[in-house]
Amino acid sequence: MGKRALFLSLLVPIVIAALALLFASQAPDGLEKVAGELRFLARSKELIGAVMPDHFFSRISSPFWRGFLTSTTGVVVVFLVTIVVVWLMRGVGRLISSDKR
Amino acid sequence: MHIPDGFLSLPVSAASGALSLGGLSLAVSRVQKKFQDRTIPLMGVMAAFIFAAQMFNFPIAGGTSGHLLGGVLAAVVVGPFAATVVLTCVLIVQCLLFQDGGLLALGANILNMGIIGTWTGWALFVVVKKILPKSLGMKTGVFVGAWLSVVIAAAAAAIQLGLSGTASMSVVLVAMISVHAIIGIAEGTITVLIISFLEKVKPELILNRV
Repeated sequence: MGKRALFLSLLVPIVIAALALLFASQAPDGLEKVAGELRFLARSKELIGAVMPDHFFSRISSPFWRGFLTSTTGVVVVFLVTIVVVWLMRGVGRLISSDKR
Repeated sequence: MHIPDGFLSLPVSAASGALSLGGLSLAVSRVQKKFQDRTIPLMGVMAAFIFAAQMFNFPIAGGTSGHLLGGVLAAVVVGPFAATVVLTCVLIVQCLLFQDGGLLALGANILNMGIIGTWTGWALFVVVKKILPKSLGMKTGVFVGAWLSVVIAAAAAAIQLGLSGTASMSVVLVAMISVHAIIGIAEGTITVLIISFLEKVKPELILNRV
């Protein structure tokens, strides 16, 4: 995968995330629906705060642009985290195989 | 289907976490054995795509919404073990940065969506692809595999909720499977559309093409 293809491939999730901000359904998802119907939704707890929405872009007043920056950052973070994890996996794998030789 | 904190008991969370660690170790070792350098950026892009797609909740019947799980999509493109690694990265970022899914329930969410859902969906995809002829086998396999991945992940979540004493096992199992059987149809349809699109424009990206 070339750099241009990689850049274009990353644009797709960014566009999807932007469209999600505009058109995603606000209805509860399957688990929330079931939890509401069976009356255990109130058990939901927050052990840690959500880092992204509260701290990073709180100065931006437009909800759409705040959401867009948050979701774009999320897309880039997920991409980078996965690349680093897989790269580390490859490094460790090569170390193990060279030790066996 | 991300389980938040508070729904699962500590023993169930711990057991799910241990099982997901075991599954993840297996996935990592298998990916390391069959590693291809070209899959590094592909896994990153796949993770970014699934992360974005999971933000897009689509409405289904009865005032409920669903979103792509993406396990079978990732499994068909990068392989089932790499898909588990991809889903795990997505779930960790969602949990730590966006509070989507609980911290103590992270192991359960990885187990349900990244391991049980992905691997069973993948297994059904492989069986159907072998039984039916080329293109029909691929599309049908992707559809039923993706559908099963959602239903089986929902069933696993329901069993964890039942074992935790959060709800009656039989009641929550029926409710979760009923709702997610419908969400699974959308999962299957979206996955088939994406795989068909990739087959046309960039078939070399799909590890498991016809």
